[in-house]
Amino acid sequence: MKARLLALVATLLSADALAQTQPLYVVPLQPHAHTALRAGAHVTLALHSRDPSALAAQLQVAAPPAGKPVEYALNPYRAPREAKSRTWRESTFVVDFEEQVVTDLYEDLIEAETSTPNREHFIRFVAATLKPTVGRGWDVASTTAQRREGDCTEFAVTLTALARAASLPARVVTGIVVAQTPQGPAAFGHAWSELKEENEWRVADAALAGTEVVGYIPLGALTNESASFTLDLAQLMQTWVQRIEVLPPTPARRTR
Amino acid sequence: MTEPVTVGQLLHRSHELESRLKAPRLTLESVARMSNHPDNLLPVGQSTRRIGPRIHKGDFVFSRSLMSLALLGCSLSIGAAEEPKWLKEARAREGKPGAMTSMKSEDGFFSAAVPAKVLGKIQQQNEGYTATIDIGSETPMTCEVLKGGFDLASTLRNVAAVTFRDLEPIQGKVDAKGIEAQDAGVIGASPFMTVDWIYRVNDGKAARLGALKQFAASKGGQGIYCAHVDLGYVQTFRRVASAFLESTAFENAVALPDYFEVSTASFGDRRVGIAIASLTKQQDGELELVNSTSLLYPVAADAVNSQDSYHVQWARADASLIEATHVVSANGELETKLSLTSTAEGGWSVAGQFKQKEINEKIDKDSIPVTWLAQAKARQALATQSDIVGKTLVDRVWVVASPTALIESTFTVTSTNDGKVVGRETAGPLSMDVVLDNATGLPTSAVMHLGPQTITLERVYRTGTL
Repeated sequence: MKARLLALVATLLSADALAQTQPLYVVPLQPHAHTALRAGAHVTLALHSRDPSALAAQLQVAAPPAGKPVEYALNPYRAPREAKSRTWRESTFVVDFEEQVVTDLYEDLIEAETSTPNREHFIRFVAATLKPTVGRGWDVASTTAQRREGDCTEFAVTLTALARAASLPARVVTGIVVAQTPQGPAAFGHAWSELKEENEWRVADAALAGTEVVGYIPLGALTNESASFTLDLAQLMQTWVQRIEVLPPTPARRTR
Repeated sequence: MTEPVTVGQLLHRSHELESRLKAPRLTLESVARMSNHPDNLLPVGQSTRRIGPRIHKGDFVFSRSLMSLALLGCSLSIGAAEEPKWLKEARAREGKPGAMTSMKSEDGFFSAAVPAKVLGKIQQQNEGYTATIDIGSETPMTCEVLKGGFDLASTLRNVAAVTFRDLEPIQGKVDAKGIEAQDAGVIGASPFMTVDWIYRVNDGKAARLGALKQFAASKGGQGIYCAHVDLGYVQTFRRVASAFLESTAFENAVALPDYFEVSTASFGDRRVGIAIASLTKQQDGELELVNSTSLLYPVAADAVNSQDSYHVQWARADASLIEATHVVSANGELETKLSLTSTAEGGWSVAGQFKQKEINEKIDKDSIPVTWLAQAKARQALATQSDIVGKTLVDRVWVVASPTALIESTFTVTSTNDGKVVGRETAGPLSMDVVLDNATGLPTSAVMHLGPQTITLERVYRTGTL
């Protein structure tokens, strides 16, 4: 039974969301009439979770009083804690940029963009190169470089691999994104890349290029990039957000 | 080793499994080839009529229904209050139960009986047979028998894809579709999965609604697939397909293993797949232990993905592990095929393809992976003891989520209400609550909360002994 349940879990973990409605990973979002959800908006969210204390620790915010949701300021972006032992430049099982097919893709990037690509170049190239599909699980970079398709996880892994091919520190982050969709604001499970620039982790999200992203809630960086990486994902998802409530703008919050 | 008795001929020793994976299956590609054949196996290919009544442009109420179809996708539900009368009536149509009609393939490979009229002879082509059955609708339903079986989830997904593709030249572009209902279970000892799709076609002149109902099952080592393209007749289709499955007898049926159980897998309140565990005793005393799963889960408003997995362990009579394999196909495409074997140095090594990438690694020499049978026996023994609340069993297991490193698995008894042993199972970062069957030491149910989902396994069938 356990092996079977773990197989189900592996399935769930590999079934990540793209920008479109993703039935498995949509987080109910309750907007507030007086809080506009626009790109980069300084809004405060109430994150309802089965384990608010653990979620607060994961998000590096104050633990809420018992029975209360976690309050989270959506912007500015708050990168997950960094694992000090990592350079985030290694070729790994998941981010296998030393594979020939990824190297070839990097050469395509150089040809299409510039020999010294930056965050914008990576985003633009990956968004233009990969076809958004929902039929893939969580492919490693070399597989995506070959297939050139995928959802947000493939976009994030590929962008991370290309950045590392350029010797830039990069990593894959999973969490929740709040974005404007044709149906209005929505929150859903998502994966994106972070590139380290000027000693600061910055979001590089090729999957949502062109989408109005209100903000990101990073649950954690993928630190285990070995063949056992799905266990790391499971760890990150232990403290999932069940429901998000947009809080009214208060004077105190406006000054944060 | 002697020739194993298998379930669905899909569960084999590693070399046999490998050859099986290379054998023709009802994949997207093979179905696509079949769909070009004049004797198309798919029901939609047999009819050029339009599906459902014409939809008039400007029908606001109906447009709202279609919008709900387009937006809600898997949880698609066209609200009864919003449905026009004709649509409600079309969707409520059912056929009258008919007299039982027997059928038999000309070569005697299989026979079956259904409570409906069988149209013409059973058609045989390649490795399959097709029966056309009149259930009172304009379009008959079909039931097929595929020799050697197939992967349930990928068959449902990929045949649906081909069906929708083949609909387009006849009925117009399929511009919206979604799953209206999904189910899984067991009839007799035969696991099945069903999917009910609703879709909209547009030929440039008008939009029309249609429905595709699918039923896939495994029995006696063969695969059974029934389908119907028409609005309504939901219960009729299910009744006839179920009767077909229940009554089907094969010339050379494969016997059930010595132990065989089927569980349903649910995401939330939606049954999305099945999980099977079996044990087959070999003549030389060794054991073949199989865990398999078939899952069909939504990934977008109009798309589902499939995963079929097989985990086979070969064990000695004392339940200790000899070797093991993991095979996983995603959307009918082989994704993972790994073997775990012991090394001359006394350790273990993993080799094969994982996530479509070759791996070959040694596992920590001091780690010894256990079989699920060994775990069950330990729990069975624990269940016979008194004052066991708080007691813990610890093992190391080889799971596909961590192919190159064994993970620790602990089972801690949390209660023993009414003789039932309830425990908390932890494997790496994952935890689940399980209720044990004291007779076997295997869970009768397991519940796990992961992200937004509650994942549940419920045992629905068991036969034999461990």
